[in-house]
Amino acid sequence: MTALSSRIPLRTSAVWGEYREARAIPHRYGATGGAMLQYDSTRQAWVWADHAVLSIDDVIIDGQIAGGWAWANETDATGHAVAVVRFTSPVDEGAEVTARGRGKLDSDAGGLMTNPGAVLHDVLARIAGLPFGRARTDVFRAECAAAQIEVAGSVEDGESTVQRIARDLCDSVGAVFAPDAQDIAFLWPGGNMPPARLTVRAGHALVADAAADDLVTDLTLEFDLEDGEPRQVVQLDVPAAVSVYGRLPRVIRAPWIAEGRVAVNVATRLLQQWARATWAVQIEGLEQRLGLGDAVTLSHAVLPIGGAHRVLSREADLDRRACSIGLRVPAGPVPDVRLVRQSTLIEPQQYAAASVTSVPGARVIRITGDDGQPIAGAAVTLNGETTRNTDAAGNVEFPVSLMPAGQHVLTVLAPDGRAFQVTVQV
Amino acid sequence: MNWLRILGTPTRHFVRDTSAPVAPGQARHALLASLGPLRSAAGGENANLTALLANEGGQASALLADPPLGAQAEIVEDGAVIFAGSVRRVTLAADGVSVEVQA
Repeated sequence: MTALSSRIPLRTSAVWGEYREARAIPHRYGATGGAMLQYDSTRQAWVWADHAVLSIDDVIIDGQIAGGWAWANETDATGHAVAVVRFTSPVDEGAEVTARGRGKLDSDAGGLMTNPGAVLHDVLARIAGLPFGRARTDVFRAECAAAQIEVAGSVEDGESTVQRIARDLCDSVGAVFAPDAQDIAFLWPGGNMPPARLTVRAGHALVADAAADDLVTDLTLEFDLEDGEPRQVVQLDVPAAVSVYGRLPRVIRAPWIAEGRVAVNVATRLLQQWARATWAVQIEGLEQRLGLGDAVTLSHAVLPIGGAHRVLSREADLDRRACSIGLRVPAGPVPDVRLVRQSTLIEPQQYAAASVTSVPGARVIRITGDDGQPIAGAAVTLNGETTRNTDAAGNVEFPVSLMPAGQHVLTVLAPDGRAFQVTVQV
Repeated sequence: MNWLRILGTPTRHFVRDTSAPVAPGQARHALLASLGPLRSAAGGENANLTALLANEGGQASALLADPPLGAQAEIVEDGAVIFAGSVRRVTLAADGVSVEVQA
């Protein structure tokens, strides 16, 4: 029987019988990409997902955009729905075949399944078969919909546990995974506060602890992963906190975020909490049994900070019928968070790199060689039309009007004769 | 006579009693219960000391509800600074408030 601590029970290609290497068949969510699995010995049929999908948009073979294919939602030899790409001619033996597309459909809400609550329920209930009713993700689903938080990614590592996948998903969007709570996930910090079940007053034993080591004033969030590496970053800071505490940086990775808008939302909520002193509060000897995610209000002389706060940890003494809870209570006002940079980093086939940073009205592209050093004085041609030269720092700038959101091709000719082409996604 | 001074706006002096020679106009709070041992070790953790403040009625809690983490803090004895560092941790409890200062 599958438990949260069990490996995620993905089907493998062994179910198709004739293929030699059993590999987990992925589940895809949102606009995402990943490797395809050879379906049969013809090497013309390849599976992208273990379910029907909204679309498969691009196919890449050994790093090159491929043609001569068509996709369809079909049933495999076992009668199971899969998303298949069929090539007009066989793919070379040993070739690396990947695709990008739009994954699983949300049968409840319609459209692409990108709501983190919907994805969480799908992983727990439909893939893992655990007894989590849909209602237990209703709060999380509503919070994410209200904040327009969407996710994209794949469940494809058959060695991961169910709990690990759920936690990575929740961590990515700044949420708490609490499987033994009625609402098994909720946004925190931030998010909606349910009605308080208890007011903590004098008479309840309360200890609060705040440590300087917990402070973060400069946060970099890496996201939009491909082959496990981030393609985009956002960096935010809190100038007022930097002036008081100094620059205290942290880098985190959000494997389920693919959009800059969502990355900024999540990083902002996290930094609003982390850039101010936060009390780790323990309250003991409560007679009322509280659950994770329940809200309590504080009216206690030991910690004169009011308001409602979520229970984030709980210990129930079943013999003494007493309960202890843990809260995290921020001190001081919510700080102003500043977006420092939002940039894209793409590595082309030949190891040279181009990073794209958006500034008001322009895209700044930094060209580096395979040694990581900037290439000064290189002629950079954008989409075969406009050519500008990099400066001493390897930077070249194009107006946003010439580089709107989407794909662009940069042709680079370095002073030493090196030439290469880079496709960037803005 | 020694006491804990936390620099900031305002600078606060946590003294044992009101006779402590704090400069006029500076905030003085007769809440200092004890100063813990000053610990230091060659090649070990930074020198540190924990001050314990009385918290009857929550007076110390009210002063430190927004804890001065990272603020410069000094132990003053007979008018001289004998230890200086920054506030690394504050713990609030009914029986006292501890302030850990680390060099």
